[in-house]
Amino acid sequence: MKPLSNATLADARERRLARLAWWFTALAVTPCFSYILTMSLAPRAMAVPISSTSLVTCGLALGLALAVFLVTVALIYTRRVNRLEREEARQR
Amino acid sequence: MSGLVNVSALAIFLVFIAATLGITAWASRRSSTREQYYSAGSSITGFQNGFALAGDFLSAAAFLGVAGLYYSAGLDGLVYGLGALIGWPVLLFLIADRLRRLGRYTLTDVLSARLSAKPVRIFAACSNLVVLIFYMLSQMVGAGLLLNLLIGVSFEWSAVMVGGLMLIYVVFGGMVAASWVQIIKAALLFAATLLLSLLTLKHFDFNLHGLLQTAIDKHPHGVAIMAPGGLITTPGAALSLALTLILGPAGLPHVLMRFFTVPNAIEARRSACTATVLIGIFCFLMVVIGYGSIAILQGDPRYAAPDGSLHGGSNMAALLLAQALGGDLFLGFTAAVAFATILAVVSGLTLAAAATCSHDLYAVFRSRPPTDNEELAVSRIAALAFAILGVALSIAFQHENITFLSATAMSVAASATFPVLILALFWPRLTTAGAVSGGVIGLLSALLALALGPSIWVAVLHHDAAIFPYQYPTLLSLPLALVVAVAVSLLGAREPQNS
Repeated sequence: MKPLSNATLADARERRLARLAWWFTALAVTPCFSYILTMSLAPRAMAVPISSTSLVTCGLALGLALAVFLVTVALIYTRRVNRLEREEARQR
Repeated sequence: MSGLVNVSALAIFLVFIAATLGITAWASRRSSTREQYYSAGSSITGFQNGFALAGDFLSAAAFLGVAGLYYSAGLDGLVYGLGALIGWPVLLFLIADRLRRLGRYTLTDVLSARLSAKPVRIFAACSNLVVLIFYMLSQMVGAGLLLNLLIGVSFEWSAVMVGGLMLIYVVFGGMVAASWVQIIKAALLFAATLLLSLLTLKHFDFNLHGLLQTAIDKHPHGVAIMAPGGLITTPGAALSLALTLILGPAGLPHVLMRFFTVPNAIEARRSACTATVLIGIFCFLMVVIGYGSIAILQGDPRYAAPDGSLHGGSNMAALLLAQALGGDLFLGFTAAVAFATILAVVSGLTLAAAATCSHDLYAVFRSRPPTDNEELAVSRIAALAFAILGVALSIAFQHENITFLSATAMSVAASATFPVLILALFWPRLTTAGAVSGGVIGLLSALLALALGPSIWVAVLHHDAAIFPYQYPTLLSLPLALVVAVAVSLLGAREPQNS
């Protein structure tokens, strides 16, 4: 069997990275759109406290949870893609 | 001195300016080549660049404006606070590493790596300059008003002072100085924000429930400050705002240019990730500062009038909170940080504009490629012209409603630059004609919709109702730009790729 050329391997790698990037983008952007739309269109739902004894509302809790989520997704993506790239560089 | 700040604050200002001028002197010895001047020789680490990127994005509006929004409207402050964060995942996942691999000094390098250089460079340069001028104007007017309020200097002298300092940083220090000023400012901003949050929590014995309860009890809106206040009410306006906040940062030239200051794609990713983490932490701290300012300043006659309005306006919430918790010295430190924030941001904008003029435009109209020295000379002249323009425009527009200026910058970036960039990076079929026509349509439709929207048609031109209903035109202009770029590319002949 004919071995794959470097250009073909690089192309395949590029496509895989692009697919991963778009998946992560969808994962991050969907809750952002949802949060802004819900804050503007369903303000009453966002004004409900998260428990009967708490002053923290769903709007505040979800906003802070969104910030944590975005930071976590960014950390996971960076760690994963950078490790992949370093491993491939070592193999080359 | 008629301003809010005392002698100790002025001393801290002067120390900061002396330190940054020292950095510029050091940087000027490292900015003799084009590579060093535009991209700091790609010698900045990912972690350092993350601070610079976060600093670019956390302008005075993000610190003073968001704190003021919490003070006056409660939870709505969080939406705008998160606005600084939610654009970063798109930058990290889709743009950062590809940009670094394809570009050298400016965003236009990336586009002309694939497409015919001349038309693409002219379009991208015009689009970048529109974004930078509007962004710069909003910062300069904000700077003038802030300095006028803080240290009592007249608006004109404030604008000249900011313009002169940023010019020194850029002309002599290039990207090395602009980056280090931004890194130091970001570190100072985080230190001030963290300290202010800790002092606020300490004031309530680290009891968040107590802090929120006091804020609710004191604010005229009561428990409503924990709920959305209805800043955006229609689905179209909300969608348009979301598109602008999420995609706008990925088209800002002064932010994109920073990805060329790191040595490779791994460091580019690391820098975007560091910026995301820092801005995420900043969002949390601003919640404490925002609600803390209500709990501590409301009802105190030293800081607020009986109707709850703050002395100097709601944008002074963070500064007055610093004074209430740490006295004049902490107020001086926080005010100096706010000033540093503006200086660092406008330096980055000036450098990006200078690079656009010298590297993207000047080179296009010459028969032979310019030498390093010729290009750097043009860049410095362009920085001088841009600074003069910024100062003159800010003085001319000082009494106008300027909120639309930053909206214009973000909307134009999301409508003209972002669609062309994303297609150039991910769609091999994009042609030069498609990129230019899509970008031009995005740019013009964004500007037209802004002119006919509530920010200009009603607020500035005083008509009864807006022709275009939304404050942010991105919902219209971004899809239009994408459709035109794709359609023109598909209808035209395929073209050979440069690389």
